[in-house]
Amino acid sequence: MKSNKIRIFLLFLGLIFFIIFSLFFGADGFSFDKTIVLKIRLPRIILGFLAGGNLAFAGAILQGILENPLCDPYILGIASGAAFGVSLGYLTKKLSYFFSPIFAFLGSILTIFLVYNLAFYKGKTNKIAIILAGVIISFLFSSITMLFMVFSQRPLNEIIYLIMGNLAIIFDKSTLIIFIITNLISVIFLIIIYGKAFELNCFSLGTEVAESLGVNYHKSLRLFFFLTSFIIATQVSFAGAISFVGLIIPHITRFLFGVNYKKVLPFSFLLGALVVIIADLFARTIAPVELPISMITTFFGAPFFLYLLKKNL
Amino acid sequence: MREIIFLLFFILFLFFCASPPKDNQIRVVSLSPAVTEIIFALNCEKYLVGNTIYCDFPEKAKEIYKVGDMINPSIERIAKLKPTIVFLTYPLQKNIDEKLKTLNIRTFNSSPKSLNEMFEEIIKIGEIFNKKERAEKLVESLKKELDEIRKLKKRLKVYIEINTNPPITIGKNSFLNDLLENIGVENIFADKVTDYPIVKQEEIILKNPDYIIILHPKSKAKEIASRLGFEKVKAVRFGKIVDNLNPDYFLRNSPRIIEGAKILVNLLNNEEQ
Repeated sequence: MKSNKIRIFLLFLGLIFFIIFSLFFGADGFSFDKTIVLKIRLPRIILGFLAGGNLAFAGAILQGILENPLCDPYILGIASGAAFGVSLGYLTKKLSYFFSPIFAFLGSILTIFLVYNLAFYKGKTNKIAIILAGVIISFLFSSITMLFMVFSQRPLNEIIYLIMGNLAIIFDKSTLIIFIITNLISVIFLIIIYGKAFELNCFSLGTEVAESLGVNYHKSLRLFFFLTSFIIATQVSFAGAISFVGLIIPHITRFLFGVNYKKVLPFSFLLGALVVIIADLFARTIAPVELPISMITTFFGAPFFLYLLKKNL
Repeated sequence: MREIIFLLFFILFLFFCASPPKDNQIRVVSLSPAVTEIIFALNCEKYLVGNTIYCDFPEKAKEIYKVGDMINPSIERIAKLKPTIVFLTYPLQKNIDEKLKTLNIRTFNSSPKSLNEMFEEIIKIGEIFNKKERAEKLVESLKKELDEIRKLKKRLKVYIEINTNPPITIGKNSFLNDLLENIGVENIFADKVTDYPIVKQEEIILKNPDYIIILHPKSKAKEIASRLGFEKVKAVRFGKIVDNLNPDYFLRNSPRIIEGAKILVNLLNNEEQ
């Protein structure tokens, strides 16, 4: 127990340290020009914090309710839905950069409803149906996205950066308002889910055990599906699809803090946030060009996870 | 633990040592290699404080501080330079333009579609540096050079390739098409409305160009000639495939394009005699 407290302390310390460090450290060492710190770096850090945290949190829930350790937040097809929404907006030719998160969000919400209708047929469902529906919708939307991008004659990089994940966001007033509203709602959802951590623990014991412990399997599954999808949609709309974090961070959290969801959920959030903030720090400083953040998270994440796996086996 | 806290304070201390630069003169950042070349041609490079990793001409442009690539440059690096104006190009950098505007950074969109538009833009860029006369002089000499090389004797049909797979060429509204018209060369895809259309191999064969000009390093004449079905094309039959040109002379809307026109006209004239 004592070592656990030290781990928690280190996690918080690391988070605070890296937030402050990222705020003042840039491409060429330290600088604290007011515009750069407040208008360029601060939004990036806030976005990284929320994106990383939400992704890891959502990953933990999905792995729990779908009883599949390989689930990541994009398995529900939401990232493809977001890309689809943006490409649809690009068909209008003159879509401003600031409106793309709105279209991404609408696309994600559309995906959620489609997957829901496919997976929760006549009020009954199983885990496999959700995964299959998500994967199929994802493929469908990817193909439509490609079609739209060819038609819209816009530079492909705009959609590629959404697919690969990109925190280089600048807010104007309208996007900022939407960002705040959607994220407030997703924070409320996080709290609701956290209140149901007991149910998640029951889920991890298997469907029958969960039902014998008084959990209404279908009802809970539907609730978790909706809340989690909304959280992922919010994240993907602004930060794009950051790979690996949602898959691996929940596993690392379980290694470090145990399998109780009362701990897995909050620490996944914090650890995910920390990892994405550090990854973004690398992405914007180590090379003369800005690197895609998914590349950093995967490049450093995969070996680290293998190390943890080997140590624990 | 104590070390970490100490380190934190040390870093905070470092913040207070740094000081931002202060001066009121013109400071520009160029996100377009073509505009970088124009700035150098106007001898205004001392005002150029940042450019991209693709700005490689003239040689000195490589030494200027790099803010990133053309697609996703670091907004932070640009803002740090406190530019009075940032040069960029549409549609590639529309996103960046919108981002910079929210930070109250002035931008200049340079995307000429013809030689005349390029000449106008050189003068506008000259005005930004308060060097309008110098810019006018430059434009005049460029126009004169262009007039001297004008027109080939025979009208040739040319296929310009700027990417292999898929084959991408130049359309009616592209900058290079205007240059070709100026020197009396016929672009076989001048009927395409998009700037840089993707074409099919069969279209190239049907249009039967007299010349194939490759403006990318990916394929050589031999490879083009060996494409299935190309043996019928005139250019392949008579070995008129050009693969040794430097694409930068033709694809950048900078004063070097006139040099490019000269090279092209000389090449085609020599071959036809």
